[in-house]
Amino acid sequence: MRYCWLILVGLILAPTLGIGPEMAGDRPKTTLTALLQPAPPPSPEPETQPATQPAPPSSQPTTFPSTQPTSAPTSQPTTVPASQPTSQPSHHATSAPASAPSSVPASQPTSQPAKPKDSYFAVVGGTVHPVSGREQTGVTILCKNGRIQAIGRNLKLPEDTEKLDATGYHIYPGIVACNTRGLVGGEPPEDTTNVFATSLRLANAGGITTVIVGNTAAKVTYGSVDGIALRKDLFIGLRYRSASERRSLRESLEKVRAYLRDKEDFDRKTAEGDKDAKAPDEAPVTGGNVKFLQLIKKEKTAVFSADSRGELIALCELVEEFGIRVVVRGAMEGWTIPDRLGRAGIEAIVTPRRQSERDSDLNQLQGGNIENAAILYNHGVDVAVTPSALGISLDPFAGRDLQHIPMEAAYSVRGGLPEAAAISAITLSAAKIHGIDDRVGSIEIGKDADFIVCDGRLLEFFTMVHWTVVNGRIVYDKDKETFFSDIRPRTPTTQPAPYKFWPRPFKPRKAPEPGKGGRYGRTGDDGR
Amino acid sequence: MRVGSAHLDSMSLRCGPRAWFRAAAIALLFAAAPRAFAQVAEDAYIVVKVKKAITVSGEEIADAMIVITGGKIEAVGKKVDYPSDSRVIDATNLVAMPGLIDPRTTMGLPRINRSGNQSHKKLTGEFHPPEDHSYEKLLKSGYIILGLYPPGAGMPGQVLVQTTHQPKEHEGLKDAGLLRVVFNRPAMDKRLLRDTLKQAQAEIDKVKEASSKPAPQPGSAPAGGPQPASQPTSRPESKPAIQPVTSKPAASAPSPPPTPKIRPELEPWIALLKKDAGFVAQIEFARASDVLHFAEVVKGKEFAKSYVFAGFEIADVHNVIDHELLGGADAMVALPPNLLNMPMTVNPYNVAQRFIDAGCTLTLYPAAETVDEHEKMRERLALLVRNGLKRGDAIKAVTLNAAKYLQIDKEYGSIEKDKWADLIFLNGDPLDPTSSVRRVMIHGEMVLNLDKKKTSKVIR
Repeated sequence: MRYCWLILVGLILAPTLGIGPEMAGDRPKTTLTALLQPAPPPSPEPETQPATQPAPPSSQPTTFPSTQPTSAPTSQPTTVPASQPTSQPSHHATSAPASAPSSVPASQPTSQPAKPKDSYFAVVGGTVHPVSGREQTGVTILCKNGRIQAIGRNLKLPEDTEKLDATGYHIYPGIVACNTRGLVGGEPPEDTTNVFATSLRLANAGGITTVIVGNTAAKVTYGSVDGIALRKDLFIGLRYRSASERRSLRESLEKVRAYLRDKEDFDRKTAEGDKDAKAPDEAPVTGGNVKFLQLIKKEKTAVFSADSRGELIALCELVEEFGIRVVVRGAMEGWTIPDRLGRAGIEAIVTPRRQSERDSDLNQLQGGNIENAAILYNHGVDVAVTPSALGISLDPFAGRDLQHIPMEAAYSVRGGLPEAAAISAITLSAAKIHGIDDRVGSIEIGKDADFIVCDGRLLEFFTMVHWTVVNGRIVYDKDKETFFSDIRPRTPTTQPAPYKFWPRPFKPRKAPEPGKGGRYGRTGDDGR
Repeated sequence: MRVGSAHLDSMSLRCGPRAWFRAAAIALLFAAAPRAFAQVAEDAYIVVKVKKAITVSGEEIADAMIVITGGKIEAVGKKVDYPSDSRVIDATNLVAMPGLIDPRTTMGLPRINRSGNQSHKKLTGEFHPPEDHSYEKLLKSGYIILGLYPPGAGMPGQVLVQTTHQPKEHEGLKDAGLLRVVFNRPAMDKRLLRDTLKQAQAEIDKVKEASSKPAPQPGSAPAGGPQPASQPTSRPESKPAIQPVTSKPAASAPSPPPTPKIRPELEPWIALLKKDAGFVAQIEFARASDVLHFAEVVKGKEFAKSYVFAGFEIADVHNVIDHELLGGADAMVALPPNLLNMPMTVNPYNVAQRFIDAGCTLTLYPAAETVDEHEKMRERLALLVRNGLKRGDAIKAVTLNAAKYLQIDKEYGSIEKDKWADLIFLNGDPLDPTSSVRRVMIHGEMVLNLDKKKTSKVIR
């Protein structure tokens, strides 16, 4: 009877939470019972429906990244284990995975001795928040060789699967840090990273699994040099502030446009058989000018830093004229012209905590605004959120560096951004903006097995990251590290303190009996 | 052969070390034979009776006798036979052990900092014995052999094995075989190593193709390809080691005549990849991360390696101690003998013992390139032993394992039959800080004798 009130609340909230007939395929029927238990490892009745696959790429066209190559889903075997045990009397992944008589999925190669052994990793029983879809409780994520192979209940896990019991925990995709410096090394990151650096460990502790450093995307793989490199040449960094910068960029783009026009003309003439047709000069599109051609053809994205309203308007005009794809870093005053940015299709990487003093001489909307991300989002601008700091720092104020990206996203929620959009702003949207959303950014089949296991909802300020998984490998375990292991440990610690002398145990001294003890009440055997 | 007495060797008793040096200088003037000093001991048997012989390779023998002939150890034991005309040296108040070997120092080398792939460069011509008597002091502190590594970055050259006793005459015991590879800046060093391995492999493949393609020419000797050709010219390890290195290293041999010329800096690497005996790459790391980067580069390529961990901290040790590169007894690891403390505590952390526990063969080099640090080496060892390192491992780390590291363990590093009689005699246990080196014997010749008048006497 203790949870009687919870049942009532649950009944009232059920329609709003979306627990209705439309969710029947996603959840077991006895959802209310599941709600009562904080952690329902086995759902109370065996399912007969196919286990849920939250994000099959074809079924969710709205959220699935448009740039995903078709190879990613098709490279995964179509025999997703989730769909296999449908006809059998199902058993649950959490209860008896190892005792299954034939628990190896059919997709596992058995007759190829030359191939290295597949490594399996599964996170069992947690609440999964795949940013691209709805959250689900009590599902298992099965990863094979660093990629997510299956998501769902009743998965048959291979025998040698490394399991992580996340019952009661929340699983989010790994955070993408949009602009970093000094975490992974320079160029190329896979050759220059100090993989045992403390900042890497702290980044993992903060939930970061992917960083954009310069023009390159890299993984934060503490303790391993495998799989650091993610993608190179993500975008073209350009400047559009001063008059000369604006003029030169516009001229370059105009030359490319003129070249393309002449080229088309030339091609048409040669096709018609005109021998006298003169080929256009290749100078505007060769050498260092290739990038402008890539911009015009929309093969690459241009990244600008712009904060003021004037700069943003100038960028909007540039986009309207040349039709290039533009990402703006900063966009502090973007909230003053959100409709224009939205129409131009500009994407923004914002820092919600940015502030600035207002210029009282200017009679216009100006300055930083905590609602910036929300206003931009409501006007159709893709928003990613990043802190103002570029690295992990031990500056006097905690919460401003890269280690606290969820805090930054939470500020945008305070400014009105929906929570789902705020989480997306540090995961999937950030990945989309940089064109790496086919690998990272959400928990979907075929993507990299990068996720974080938290003890609460990500944007709550007391939530800690307990495990960080990168490429299907646990790179951070909160209770095994020294940084935060003393903060709300998972289990009551039975181990002695690691060091004898630190931290010193507090021993209250007993008061001396009246009439005994020295001048200061010291008796000589008071434990000193 | 009967057990009996020997006659008095008056000359060695009368002369002090300074007089001996003077005599040696005169001898040099008249007969500039580099091996002249060994002539004295060649024709006779010498028997040294000691309080204890620390053989390093075997157990410690109390009241032992060491029989020496031709500068080499003939026998060691509690009771061994020797000819009646042997010269008997009474050192029954002293403890004998093989001379100490420093596997890694630059003392006496000019600071020529090279970079890039300079693997073919040798130090023979660059070495000049220092004028400041530092080598004499090293000899006095028990160090008989130094492994001089070329300073610089990348692949700065090959290690020169040098004696502290009369370094001018010996011109280096051995100059080829140990390539220094500095791997502490992954960005550059990874590229360099990757390129070098690729080029060397390409050369090997080219030679293989050239030897397999054309029909075997009549009368041409190396018809079997480059592999057999490389065998006979293996490193001169079996020869007496005291020889100025003049012959070309083994690496240049394997290419048969018709093949195009191979760049000299690639030759050692070709020999390494072909696993020619004797060539070892000595990889120097600064951080734990470097080990992983190195492992990534050499994945699937097997060649002989040994490791130097310079400037490692506890976290680094903790991070790489379980790495597959270090597992197994094959991994040869050189460390400074530093005793670190656990973070925020005074609890000592014995890095050396951790590497031994991981299965590595450990050798220790003085933490600084000063005479002072060499003199303190036995104290540092004692400190490590007090904190958990086994005594035998500690002594081995500065004698036999150091010889193994420099690939001279067939002739140096322990008191064994057929090894050079390069011994030091201490008036106490080597790990006792109050003990000191009283005598030093090089190739059966007592080159240093600090207390000859007090303790040396002849027994009939």
